[in-house]
Amino acid sequence: MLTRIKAWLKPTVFRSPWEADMKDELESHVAAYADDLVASGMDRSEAERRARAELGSADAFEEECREAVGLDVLDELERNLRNAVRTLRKNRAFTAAAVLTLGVSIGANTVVFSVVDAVLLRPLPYPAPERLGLVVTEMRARGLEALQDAQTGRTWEALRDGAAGFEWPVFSAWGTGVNLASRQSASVPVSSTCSASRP
Amino acid sequence: MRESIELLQGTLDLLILKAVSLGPLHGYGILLRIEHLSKETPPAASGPHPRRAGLRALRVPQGSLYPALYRLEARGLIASEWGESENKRKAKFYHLTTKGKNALKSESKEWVLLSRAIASVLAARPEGA
Repeated sequence: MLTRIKAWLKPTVFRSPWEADMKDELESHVAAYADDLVASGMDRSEAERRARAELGSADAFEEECREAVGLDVLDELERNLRNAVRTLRKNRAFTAAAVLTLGVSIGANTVVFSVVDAVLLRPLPYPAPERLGLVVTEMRARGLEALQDAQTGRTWEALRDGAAGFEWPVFSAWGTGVNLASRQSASVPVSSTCSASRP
Repeated sequence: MRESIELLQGTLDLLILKAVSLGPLHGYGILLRIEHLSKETPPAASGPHPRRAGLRALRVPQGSLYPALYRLEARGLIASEWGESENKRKAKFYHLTTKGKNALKSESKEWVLLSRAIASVLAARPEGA
């Protein structure tokens, strides 16, 4: 594989010396063959014509040599690229539409990925994020069920003092993070419903 | 009867390797050497074929020689450098690499097996004859 790549790289990077080398070799072949034909009694110019003819069409021949070392792939790529650029230049409206479509879709994808990355992929910026949990109170009364994810201060105190396995039950959902205690219960005011007259 | 026979598809690479293994050669020289050697009676000709007189030169198509050389060089089986030919002309000489030597050995072996197998098929006689 390595020799393959090396063998391909040389004519690719040094393309024009490689081409000159190939033409030199063909000329040397034609000359040597013509020499032999002349030695067997043929006229010089006729001998050279004949030697060239036996190699076949020069273009086809050179193309085959390029193919042998893998240059045809590169040439094909170049032709395709040129053709693409020409087409894009000719059809301005199409080009604009294509660029716009690509731009918008790439932008949208970037936004979606950024959100997914921040929300789902990246760990939360706390020590031991895998140990974070959400405390939910399940309430049932007269056939009604409700889930409450905002807990009162008493609940937090009870969790802190009574439940095993918790380290720092800290409340930070929906509220300002301040617990207010009044009469029988402690609760966290939701910022929008917080007022001085709260019981 | 024609004077030369056409090369079988896929055998040119093997013949080039062999020709070059006998000593560094330029493209035209490889052509001549193959044609010349194919006319010679092989040293171990005393096989089951009594008539060996029909040996004819292999005709190497000139147009496919150089692409084959370039392919072999790209595969690292032969290597080349510029030198001077016997006629004092600039010419590119090819020689066998170590990798090429191994390839020649294994491909020759395969060719012998193949040709033997074909020969024994072709030598079959009708049953009961």
